[in-house]
Amino acid sequence: MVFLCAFTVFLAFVTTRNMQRVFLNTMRDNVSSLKAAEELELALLSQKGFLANYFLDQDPVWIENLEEKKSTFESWLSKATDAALTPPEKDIIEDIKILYRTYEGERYRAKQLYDSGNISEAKNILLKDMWEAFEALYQKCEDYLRINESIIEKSEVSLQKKVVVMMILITLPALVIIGLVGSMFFLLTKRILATVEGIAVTTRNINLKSLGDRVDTENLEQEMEYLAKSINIMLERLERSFEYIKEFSSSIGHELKSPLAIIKGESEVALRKERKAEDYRRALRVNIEEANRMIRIVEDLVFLAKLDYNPENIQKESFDFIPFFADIEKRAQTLVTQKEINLTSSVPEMSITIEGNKLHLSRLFFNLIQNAVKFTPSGGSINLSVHQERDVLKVTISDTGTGISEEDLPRVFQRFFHKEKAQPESSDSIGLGLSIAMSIAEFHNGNIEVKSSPGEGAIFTVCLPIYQA
Amino acid sequence: MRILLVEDQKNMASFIKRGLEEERYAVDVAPNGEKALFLAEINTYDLIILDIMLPDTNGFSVCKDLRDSKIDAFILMLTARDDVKDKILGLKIGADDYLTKPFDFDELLARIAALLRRRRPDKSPVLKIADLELNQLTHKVVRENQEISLTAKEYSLLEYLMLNANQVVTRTHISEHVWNEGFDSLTNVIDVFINRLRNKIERGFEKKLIHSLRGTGYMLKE
Repeated sequence: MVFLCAFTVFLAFVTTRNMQRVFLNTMRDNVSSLKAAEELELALLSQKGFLANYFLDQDPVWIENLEEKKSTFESWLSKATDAALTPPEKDIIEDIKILYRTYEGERYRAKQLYDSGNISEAKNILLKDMWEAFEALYQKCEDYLRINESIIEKSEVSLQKKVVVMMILITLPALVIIGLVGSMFFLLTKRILATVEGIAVTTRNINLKSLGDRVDTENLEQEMEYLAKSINIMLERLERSFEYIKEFSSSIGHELKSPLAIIKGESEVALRKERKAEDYRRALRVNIEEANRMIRIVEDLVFLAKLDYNPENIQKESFDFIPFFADIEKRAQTLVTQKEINLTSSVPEMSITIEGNKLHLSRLFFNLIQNAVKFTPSGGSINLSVHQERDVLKVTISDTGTGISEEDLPRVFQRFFHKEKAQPESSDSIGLGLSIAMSIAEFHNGNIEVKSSPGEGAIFTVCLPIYQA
Repeated sequence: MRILLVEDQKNMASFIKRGLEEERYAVDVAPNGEKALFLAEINTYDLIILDIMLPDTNGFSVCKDLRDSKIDAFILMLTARDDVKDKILGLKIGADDYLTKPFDFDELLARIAALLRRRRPDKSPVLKIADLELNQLTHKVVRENQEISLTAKEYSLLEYLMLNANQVVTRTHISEHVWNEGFDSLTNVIDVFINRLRNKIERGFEKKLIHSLRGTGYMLKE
């Protein structure tokens, strides 16, 4: 819009500027004709005077001056010839030329007569014939002057008119164009604003309870549709995240409520009447046990949040995985012997370098091993194996435990997913172990796969990228 | 009054069981749905406290299975889930009451007592037969304005007899409602407790209240 206005103004400016130049040129031509006419008159007048003076005192300086004025006259005459454009001008110049030749002839004759001593005849020519010729010539110059004046006047008026007409011709269409473009622009903006308003109203009204709402993408211009769809995709992601957070916080609530209920209930029951010291001690022990459970839940949640949202603070180093895993295996041995589970392993005798955080990686493997131990009955076995597949390190932890049903398989890595064995002793799990293991694997650009069917044990495979130096 | 507590968390089950036993209830604990259904089938419970989050199933399906098996004990759902939808679902499929964790132990006791009172035409917490009175709230037993001191088991036995006054109560009934799973019904423990009770509520009083019915059991009547 601004560009269009600027362009129109620029066009008008350039055109008038051009007009002005043409006008000035014409004026300048006419003015030079006028000037030529004036100079002609002046030179003519001087010539006549100088000859008369020569007759009076016979000083040859007058003849020199006369010759000088004669060349001035001739040069102005040629300028006037060039400047004469209209036929009447040209005619007058022609007349002036002829008359001047006659006048000059007379003058020349008068000088000759005077120089030869025939003074009275020379005077006659000077006063009569030459005078008449001069008069006629002077008149012609005057006419020429007048013609030029009137031409200038006329062209001034007509040029002024032309400029006005040109201005109107340029300005009117420009105004119409500006008007049209402006109204188009206005309508377009209004339409765009109307759709934007629609989108804005929907987005403004979206809150936690209506995250399912979407911006209407029907009947929209391509660009607006693109915008609306982008907003919808963003809303989709937001809704999913909020859904996850909602579920997650309700799980946290539930997980923390149980130990709280136990601490409260145990204490209330203990205080209902006077008891033996042993009873109070038991109540306090239970409370500490449950408080520890809450601490573990909170610590795990903080750890998960750190892995999810602040992973750059976790240090990584490159190290040989084989001796690291041998240490884990040694410690796993103590876990399984309590439950009479047979632990076997196959680890290659080579060096495999990975990059990662040893503390967190050992937690990953311990969580998986603990999980295997939990679901494997006494007398069962757990196998650990390490092997390299191209640039990926694979660690499998397989057990002969109860296995996982097809329905539960996709959910085992979910936070607070419990799948307890039917025995009361197993209730110390808080359902975050596998989720933490997965988050650690993902932090190391790896992942964990699980294969299982009920009654046939489970195979967890940890894949980690091998460090490329 | 015999209660089945279905709760998988050991510490939770432990304090509820102890607390209820101190209030003269006989309590069995089932740590999962399967055990709960089994115990409810073989025993007659007056009330079942049911957790929703169970290792093998959930409390809703246990509740439904119990009602499908025609078990008409009161069911009180006790859970950390406080969503109104869950409460409605629980009550709709057969639960009689719903309490969310964490809870006040006194409230649990009050709700249990309130549920158990519903069985009786007389909603008063004071049971009466002749000049014998038993207050279920204070656990005080009074005869002819004389307070009688009873042990927890003796109280439970008398309460059961008074709740079923003028009816024949068999030894099996008594073992089912007054003792928990750990009780061996083949011994003569019930007869021993009946004798102790007779000593306390009949000795020194004119009227005999506990009547032995040879071969069947006992009856409490004027």
